[in-house]
Amino acid sequence: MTAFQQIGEHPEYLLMVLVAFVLLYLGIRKQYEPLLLVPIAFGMLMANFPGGQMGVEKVDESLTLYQIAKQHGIMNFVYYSLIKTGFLPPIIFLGVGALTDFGPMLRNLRLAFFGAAAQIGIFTVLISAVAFGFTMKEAASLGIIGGADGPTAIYTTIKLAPHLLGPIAIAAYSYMALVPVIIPFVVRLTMSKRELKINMKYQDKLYPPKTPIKNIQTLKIVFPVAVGTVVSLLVPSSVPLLGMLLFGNLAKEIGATTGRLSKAASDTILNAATIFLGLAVGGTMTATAFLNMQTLLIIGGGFIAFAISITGGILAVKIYNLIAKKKINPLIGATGLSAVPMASRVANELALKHDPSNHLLQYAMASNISGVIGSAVAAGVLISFLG
Amino acid sequence: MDGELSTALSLLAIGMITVFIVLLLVVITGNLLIRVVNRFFQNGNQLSTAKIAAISGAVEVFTEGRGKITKIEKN
Repeated sequence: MTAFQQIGEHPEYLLMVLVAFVLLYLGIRKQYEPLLLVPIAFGMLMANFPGGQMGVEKVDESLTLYQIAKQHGIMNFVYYSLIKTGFLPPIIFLGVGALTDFGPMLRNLRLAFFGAAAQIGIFTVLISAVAFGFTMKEAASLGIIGGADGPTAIYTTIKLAPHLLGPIAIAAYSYMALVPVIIPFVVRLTMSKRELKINMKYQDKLYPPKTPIKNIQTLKIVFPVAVGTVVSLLVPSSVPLLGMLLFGNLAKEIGATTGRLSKAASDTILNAATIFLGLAVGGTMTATAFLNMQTLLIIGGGFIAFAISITGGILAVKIYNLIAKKKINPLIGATGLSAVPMASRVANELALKHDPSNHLLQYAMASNISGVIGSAVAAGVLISFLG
Repeated sequence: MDGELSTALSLLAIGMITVFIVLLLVVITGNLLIRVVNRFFQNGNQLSTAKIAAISGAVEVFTEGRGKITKIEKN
């Protein structure tokens, strides 16, 4: 009747429970992405209570959802209906879109390029992972951690290597939480003090923008519609993520008339989706799926992907500075990976440390937001080639 | 393995080029939109003089002449 006998026979359950406790500690006490880490850790805890039927397992996919729920428990029902179908990550992007402000990016459009350079970690780690024996699909799912975007990493993994969902989600969200540690670490290795002191506002005064924006409100409404159309024509497989992001943003920018929609997207829907996503991802982390060499390689590879992406962004700015009159602080490149807005906040704090008047948050947000678009496009490329 | 590595290398090239092209298009589209909106919707954010007068009057009465309007934003 009790779980003691099964735990005695399979002590790995106990190890997984301990890992779940550590993640709960990190989420609650250290506040590492608590909104996602706490549900993931609790889902993991429930999945490793033997006999609880809350662990996600491989099921015969010809079964109906009712049969899955009846035979394999409700967590499998949640996983196969909401996660395996790829439903929840775009829904989370809808909410993220309703919380995103494209204003900083529109005011500093040229900085959007650095959101592209910072995707280099995705593809370089993909190559290394193949060399380490991962299949192409697994390597792509591992590389996408370098995009620093949780829902994108989950979406890509569901499409390419669903059996790695647990460790990849944990690595992605843990490193996103560790952005305040990883960015300063890479910056110390790649940037000089002189570069850290480049003052963006001073550069703007020296070289003012050629076309000032006269009506930002209208621009913000037209922008998601136009960008959605352009991107969907070029990379159709990125539409589920980007389309929902831009729709959520449009609903927000229209204002009072669609206020209820954007409020629902950014509040109720986003919160509900986060709970189910977190619990179901945690549910995939059973002892058999998690305790293996691949998990360790994913944790290590994820960190490298992150660090290379940050370095890629910084180097791109350095190259730009060699040819441009108007200099850019390379910290702007470091925020080219997603992790909005934490990466921008960290870059801003680093800049302020070296020059108390150098407030570069708005500039960092420009490349940070374009990084979200960049990582979704990179995911689209991987899915369309390997999916 | 060699075949997979060469596919991975091609993915690196294709992926990075695609991301750059898409963001280049985002930048071009954004710049184009700024010009179009500046030209055709310049006054979209501005309130009519009658509305500004009404708001100023209301603030004047409510604050008994002590209030000062620094910014009016349209939601």
